[in-house]
Amino acid sequence: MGVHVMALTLSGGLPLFSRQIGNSQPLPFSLIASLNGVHMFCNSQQSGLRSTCTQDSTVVWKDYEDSITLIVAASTTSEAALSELMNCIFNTIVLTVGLEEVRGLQTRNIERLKRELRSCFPLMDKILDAVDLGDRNVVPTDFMSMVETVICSDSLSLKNCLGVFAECVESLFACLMLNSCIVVATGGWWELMPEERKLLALLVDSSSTDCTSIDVPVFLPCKSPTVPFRLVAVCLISGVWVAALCGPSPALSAVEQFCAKVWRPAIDLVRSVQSAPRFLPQGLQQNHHCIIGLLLVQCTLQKYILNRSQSANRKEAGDVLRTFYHQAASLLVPPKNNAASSDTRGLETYWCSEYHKLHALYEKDNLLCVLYTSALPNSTMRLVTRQTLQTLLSDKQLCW
Amino acid sequence: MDQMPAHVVGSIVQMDWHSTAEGETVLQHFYNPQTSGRKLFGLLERPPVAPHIEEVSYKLFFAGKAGVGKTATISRLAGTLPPAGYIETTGIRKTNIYWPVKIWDKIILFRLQCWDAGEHAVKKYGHIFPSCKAKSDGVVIIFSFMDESSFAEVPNIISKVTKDDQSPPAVMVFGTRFCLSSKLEVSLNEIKEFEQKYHVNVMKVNKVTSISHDRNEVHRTAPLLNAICEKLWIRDQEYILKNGMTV
Repeated sequence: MGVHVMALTLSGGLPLFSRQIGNSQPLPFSLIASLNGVHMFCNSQQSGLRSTCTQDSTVVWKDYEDSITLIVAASTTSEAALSELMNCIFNTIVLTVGLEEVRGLQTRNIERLKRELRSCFPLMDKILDAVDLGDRNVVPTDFMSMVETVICSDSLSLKNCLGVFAECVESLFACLMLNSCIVVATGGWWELMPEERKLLALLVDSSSTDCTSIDVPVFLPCKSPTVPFRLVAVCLISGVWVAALCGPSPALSAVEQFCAKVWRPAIDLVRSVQSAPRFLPQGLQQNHHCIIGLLLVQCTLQKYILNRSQSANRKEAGDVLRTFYHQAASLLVPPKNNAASSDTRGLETYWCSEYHKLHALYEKDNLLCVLYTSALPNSTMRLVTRQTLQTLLSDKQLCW
Repeated sequence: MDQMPAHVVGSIVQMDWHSTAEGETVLQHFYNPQTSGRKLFGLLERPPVAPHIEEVSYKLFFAGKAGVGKTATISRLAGTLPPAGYIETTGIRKTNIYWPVKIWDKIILFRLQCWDAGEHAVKKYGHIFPSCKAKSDGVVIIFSFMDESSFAEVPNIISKVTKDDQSPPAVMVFGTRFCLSSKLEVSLNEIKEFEQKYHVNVMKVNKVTSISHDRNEVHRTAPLLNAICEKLWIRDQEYILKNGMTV
């Protein structure tokens, strides 16, 4: 049945929008009404209805800000994943229309809100695209809450250019992107909440099709839900965009002028970004032939890189590493709100299968998962993973 | 509105140049090999044409009622795939379109910066309209042949974009969803009256039939782009004449 997301007003049950993905028909109105009816009935009896599940599907209800009810129905059994998806969808709503518009739903014109919400459909579809149910013929390369980064051989110089650019446009928040992956970003950009960073990256990706620059008002769901910023993004060369969160000034044309001034002298660097392959860094590739691919996650900043050796199959390596990551993260990474329990957790874990071996190491907030050829002895895995992590962290040029 | 004698379209720009061997040769640098459509160029790029070809840059603001097809028209001019389904534009979208034109015996590369803003975003956020309007060389006003109210709004938009301006932008009017076989809400008589009153040619953009994305797209779009380029060129010439400047 794919994934269905519906939004209704909490007080009146008026449908605001409904989106779906996967190989299924849109849900009939009567079914949406019944799903909402059950929830409303429970609310009126002073009891909360959170979720229900069948053997292969789950329905989750969630109220936001006492004004919107989101209902998600999906062919998955993971309530936690759906809950995360709903928060993401709600953040998208706030990003587009602002929190006040959502809160004042009873008094405002609902038709207007419905119309405004339509403009975030491309972004919502991007988010739904990231939901992996294993039933679609796509390459899922995405993690819901994390942003993908690309490591470049000369990140330091790029970072300097970006710093100059951010100063010109009077913004603390700027980043350079390659097809929605972050190449480098300012300190401010990394201080945004991870979910904001993710949404902004997806927003640039979804609104930048077939144009060469955008200037879009955005609310930051956590940092600034009521006062809008301007997300200004300019295409430098195809695939490479520079984005910044600006206040009322400078205008888009001025931002473009600054862009040209700052980045034109660095055109060769920008070109090198365009061709940045997601292969292992040169040194690693030469020293460790046994590595097929690696996934490095920074757990606080929620960023990751997914690289592979030149001979590896991209989809296969990615799939295995993603699956392993979810397993490893649940074992090794302490939950966010419960730091005290970290001392009882393991630091390493591994899998051995017929064709591959996998090893994960958690150290100082970084989780490194490495995919090896099966010929490698188990004891050597530990050593190579540790060395690899050190190489990646200590390389100044990579700016991890 | 300028009261200068209206030039006959096609008297300056060679309208059929894009079908000539020379035109085809230059145009081949503008295609995207992956999609077979045309390619967009980032801020630091330009089509790989001979460096001696002069480049001129103009700012065009696309105005019109919500939903008349501003974004779709730009994507048509740019030769990219039109958006699937209607999504209202949030904020400003800017598309740089490169278009080579033969004026008299010289090839000139026009860089048309097309500014597009969602009507509702314009109403909601005060900075968007001034940002789009500032220093624009041309305003393309779009209405839909299937929506009479969008046509009724055109005079208002003309006065809004030309008032209090030392050098008012060139005004162009495009009517979208034009179709000879179905009944139009805006009649051709109304168009004629309007053209006489405001001294502008209304250009008709027909409905986008199936997405036939081939290189013929260029030849269908060329008349529109040529007309825009000519209008901008004429505005420049008049400006130079008026101010006694030399090129």
